[in-house]
Amino acid sequence: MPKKILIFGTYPILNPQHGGQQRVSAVVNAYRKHGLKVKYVGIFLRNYYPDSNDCDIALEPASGTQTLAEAYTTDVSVGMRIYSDTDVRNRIQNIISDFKPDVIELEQFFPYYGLQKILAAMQWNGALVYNSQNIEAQLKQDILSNAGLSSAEIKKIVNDIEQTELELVKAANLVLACTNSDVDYYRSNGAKRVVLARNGIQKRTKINDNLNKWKNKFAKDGVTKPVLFVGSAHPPNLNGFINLLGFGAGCLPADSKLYLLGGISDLVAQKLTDQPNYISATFTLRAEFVGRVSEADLASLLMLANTIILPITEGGGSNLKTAEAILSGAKIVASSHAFRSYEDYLALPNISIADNKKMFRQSLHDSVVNDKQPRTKSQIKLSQKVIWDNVLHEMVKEVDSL
Amino acid sequence: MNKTIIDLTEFRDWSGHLTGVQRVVYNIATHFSEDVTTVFASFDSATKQLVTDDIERYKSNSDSLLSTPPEIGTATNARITAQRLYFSIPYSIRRHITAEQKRQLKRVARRSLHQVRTLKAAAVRRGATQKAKIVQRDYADIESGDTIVIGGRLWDHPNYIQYLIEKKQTVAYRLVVILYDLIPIYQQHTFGQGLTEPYARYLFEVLSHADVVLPISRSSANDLARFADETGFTVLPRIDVIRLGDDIDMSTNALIPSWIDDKDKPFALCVGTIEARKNHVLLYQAYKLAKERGAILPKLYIVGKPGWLTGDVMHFFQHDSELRDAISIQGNVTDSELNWLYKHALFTLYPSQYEGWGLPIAESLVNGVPCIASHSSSMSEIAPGLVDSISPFDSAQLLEKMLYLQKPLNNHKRRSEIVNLYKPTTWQDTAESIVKAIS
Repeated sequence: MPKKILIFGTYPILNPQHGGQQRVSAVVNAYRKHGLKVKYVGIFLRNYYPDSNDCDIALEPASGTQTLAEAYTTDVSVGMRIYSDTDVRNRIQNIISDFKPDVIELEQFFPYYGLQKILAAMQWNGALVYNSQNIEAQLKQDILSNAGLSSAEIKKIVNDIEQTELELVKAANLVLACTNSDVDYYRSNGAKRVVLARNGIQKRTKINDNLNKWKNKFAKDGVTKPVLFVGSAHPPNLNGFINLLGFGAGCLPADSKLYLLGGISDLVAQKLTDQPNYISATFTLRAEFVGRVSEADLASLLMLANTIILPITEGGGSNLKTAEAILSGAKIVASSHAFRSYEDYLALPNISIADNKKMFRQSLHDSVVNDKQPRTKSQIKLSQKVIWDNVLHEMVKEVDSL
Repeated sequence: MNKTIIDLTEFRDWSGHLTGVQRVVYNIATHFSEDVTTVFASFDSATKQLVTDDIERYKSNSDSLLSTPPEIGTATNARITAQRLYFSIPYSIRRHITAEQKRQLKRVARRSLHQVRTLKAAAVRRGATQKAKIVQRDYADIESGDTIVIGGRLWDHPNYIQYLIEKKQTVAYRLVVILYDLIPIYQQHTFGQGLTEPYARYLFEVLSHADVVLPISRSSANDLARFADETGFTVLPRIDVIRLGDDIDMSTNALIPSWIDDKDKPFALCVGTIEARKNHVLLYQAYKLAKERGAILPKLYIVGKPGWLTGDVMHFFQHDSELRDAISIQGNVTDSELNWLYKHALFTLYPSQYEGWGLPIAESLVNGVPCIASHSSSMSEIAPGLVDSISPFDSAQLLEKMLYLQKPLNNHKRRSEIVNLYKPTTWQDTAESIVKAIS
């Protein structure tokens, strides 16, 4: 009889876009590939995610005006509504009763706000797994500090998050962490067992679909060396971009251009409107806001990229985009933070690490200008270790053994 | 041998008197005109090509700027003929031509301009292919190793910028740009809206594609460094500060302007377009302050046409009855009249908030006349210790300096210092510094 795993998260995984969705989707696929029976239930605000599966629970947004603190903690409020909203509570109880899972796994700790009470009420005694993506209190501290909340408000929110996350860490039979430093953190905070489950990526199969479309666009733009920044509309992505590159596109040679892809494109475009007019007038000479693109487009762009930038300066966990960049074979300019948990890959050629604006801009210029060094066979093999099947192998075995 | 192309696009659409930028281009071009490896060219926006041009046609007087653009294929004088002969020789041969041979070439060209034209006509008759080649020669083709020096308002010619960028992709030539200031970027409140963005894009492209940038002051060089940093440049072109000549119009006769009340009466002089940045309002305030304090100042002649954002101050000057006899604005002044005014002024005033250089300060000193000028931006570089510096926002300080300099002893002392210590810069010096920067 295959083990049954019920996973709760705060977003759907139909058409996974952002890193969190991709990780959960890969985890579900890995379990299934291993022969385990898996059900994923996403609980989320309908206005954030229009696409969902039948077993997902899409919530209506709370009525009335949101405070700034509420706007930045919707994941917390969604977690609480799992219990406080009677309809949601009943649906989740029914799912647990019907599916009869051997293991309940939480993607990020937010569902635990409500689930902890439901499980207690049901006297559920299966194995509990916490699949962490970040140390959430630390990440929230960074996000809220940049959002303009008062220090008292931030302290209250962060303390609450830290306390609840650590309750889950102690209650879980197994904690899955993305980075070595996260592993150490959970171990030193009472976790029974912690396994490293790095972030990886899906090997792309449809790489040639839109290649010509983008080749033509680059030719029209007079660009022979496209540079990519791929990221979601996650505030830390914007902060990293501002801190390490900013709106100084002059470091890009005239035959290159920075293409901003994904939700980050909108955030950067919005931020640009706050800049002096001479900055906004010049940035767009060497940068273009592409926005969200299809998987086929992204695959083509990754294949054609001269350089991929990873200006990540905050947040826990590991960065899926780093794995993507490593596998693409393009030159990379990254912060050392972006390579957290990917330190082994720094031995690959064409990777520059820069942790301040001056260095980052210089490294980007040099990367675009300099020829790409070919990877050896062993380096190609190393780069392919970032594929999900490889990074989740140990995690699947651990969960199956619970 | 490679050629140096001096760009004259500035004059194609310009008519009337030469003002700041045109004077610079004209004077530099004049000093390059004796060099046989120099050619003159301007960008023809209709054909989007660089065509041969000639500084001689702008030499007689500024009115000639009203004339038609240069005709393609017409050799206007022997020097151009010599140049065309020279550049019609394949590079592999002409790079071995000695200086003496070049001089011979010029002599031959002078004697046989007519013959050259005849030969050209014969060549045209030889057939369509040959004809095409000759017409092509009339375009100022930028060849590998050539240097083009642009001192005009390139920012007003986006097609020209695009042409230069595209040329860079196929020809390894050197682009040299004279940079005046970054006032549209960092002093944009003194301009009408709409210039900052195109000017910023122009500067960005200059930093991306130019090989040498020649700011006309350390202040402009510092502003350029700030802009380069803010816009993310990590690799910059060579940046050499040049000093503009201040021997402009020295050969012009001095004529007493007809509107001068009393030519023997001392007066103060302020030269420059009347625009917000030039800060004429400080002059108004200082003269009002003098009235309030019962101080007597020399009559002030403001020489300049009204420009940007000066409606209020012009209204004050024109309608303040208290200052009617104290300040006079003159919009149409000839070079000869200006020469007389400089030579006879008690002192000059230049209270500008910000400048790329500040030529009227240098012109005042060349004439041995004391100058009270702002201490901001480039103005403090022109002659440290010889200019009476003020804050552009302190009318009391300006009044104090004027009262000091109107005392004969003080004025005489300052004049002696200027005459003994101020070392004028000639346009020859400027041209030589450009040659040094590009060689």
